[in-house]
Amino acid sequence: MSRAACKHSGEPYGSSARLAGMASCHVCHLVVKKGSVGGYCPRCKTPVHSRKVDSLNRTWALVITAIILYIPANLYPVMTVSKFGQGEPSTIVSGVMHLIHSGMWPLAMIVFIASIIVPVGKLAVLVYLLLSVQYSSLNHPHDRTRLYRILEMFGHWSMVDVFLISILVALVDMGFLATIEPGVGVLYFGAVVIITLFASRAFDPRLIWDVIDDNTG
Amino acid sequence: MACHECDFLHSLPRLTRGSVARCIRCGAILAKGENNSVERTLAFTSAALILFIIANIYPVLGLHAAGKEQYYTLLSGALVLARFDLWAVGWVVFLTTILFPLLHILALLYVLVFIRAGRRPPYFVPAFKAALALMPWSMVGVYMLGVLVSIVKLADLATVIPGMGLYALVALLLVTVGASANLNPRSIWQLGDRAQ
Repeated sequence: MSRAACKHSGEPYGSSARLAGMASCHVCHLVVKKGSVGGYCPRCKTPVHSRKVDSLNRTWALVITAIILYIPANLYPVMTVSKFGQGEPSTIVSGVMHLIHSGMWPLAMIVFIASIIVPVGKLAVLVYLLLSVQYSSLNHPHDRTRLYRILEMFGHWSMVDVFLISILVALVDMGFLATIEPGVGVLYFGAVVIITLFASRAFDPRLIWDVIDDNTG
Repeated sequence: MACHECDFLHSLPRLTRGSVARCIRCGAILAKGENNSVERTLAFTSAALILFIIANIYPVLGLHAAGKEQYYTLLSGALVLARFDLWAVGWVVFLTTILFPLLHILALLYVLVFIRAGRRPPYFVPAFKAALALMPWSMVGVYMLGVLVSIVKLADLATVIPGMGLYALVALLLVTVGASANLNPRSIWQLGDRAQ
């Protein structure tokens, strides 16, 4: 059903559930009248809240933690490749550079996008969304909602570097000409990815629209 | 119902087969028209369970260099990190590539088998909640990309031998996409309600 068709279905150009005194369950999306159900969703027994609880504070805390951890994630080596007993530690950035120098462009792009663009972009977008809600921005609510949707869709692809390292270490092991050892950088990087995933789930995109509801009446 | 992304209230009309209802304010997908989604998701999820087992039993990749061969399985990929004192990373790999996908498949299969038979499964609510909650944390697709990158990366170092586990993993990825594209949580909640 198209957007136009939905408008034609006799729907009054109405309000948000919050303004109508209702809340939709976070898990099963059942809409219930606030205060009528003892705080729990009658269908799936999840505590019902109009908005994710303490969304802004929790998202800020997780975003700041991730930003701090991203520093050691880039300073410490994520793995050490040893050939003929000669160890060569590499960080995320130097790993990408190495791939470019050895002519593996597509690979370098994948690692660059997954390990640098996605996590940095995701944190930047979250900071932007948080600030826009806190400063009651009325601009581009559609685009901001879309940004959030994209964030939720692609965030977990950053894990590819962590998986890649675990595969390389497991495969190139014991008695070969080369060995690959994981570095402590992968621990910090993995933490950044996981914490960022939690951060984007802690954010509530409906806050973007609350500002607009409250300012347009 | 209220849009999960902007909270705008809608009263949904009956949706025709294969149609999609979008929020008139922000454009988020609100609901999908019934399209044999239970049967389709059930078929894809059953296939996923079989492929998951194969992917875990057989080695994913092997390496052939200097007259020696070495293989690794999904599990050993996670365990090896613990040997280097990176047990936390090892746990994350184990959870996101083995335990969470398995629990997700089992929980979904359990709910779907009962719903398909027109019955409400015992512990319907916790089981279906678990299946939904585990979905974003099972990262078979991302892992697959990691495998592909490692194949190319190692190609100049040694001969890489694709194992049975790799083929199973590729197929698992495809059926997982099929299952999640067809899964319609809204209609399953409603069918569960109706069946009790």
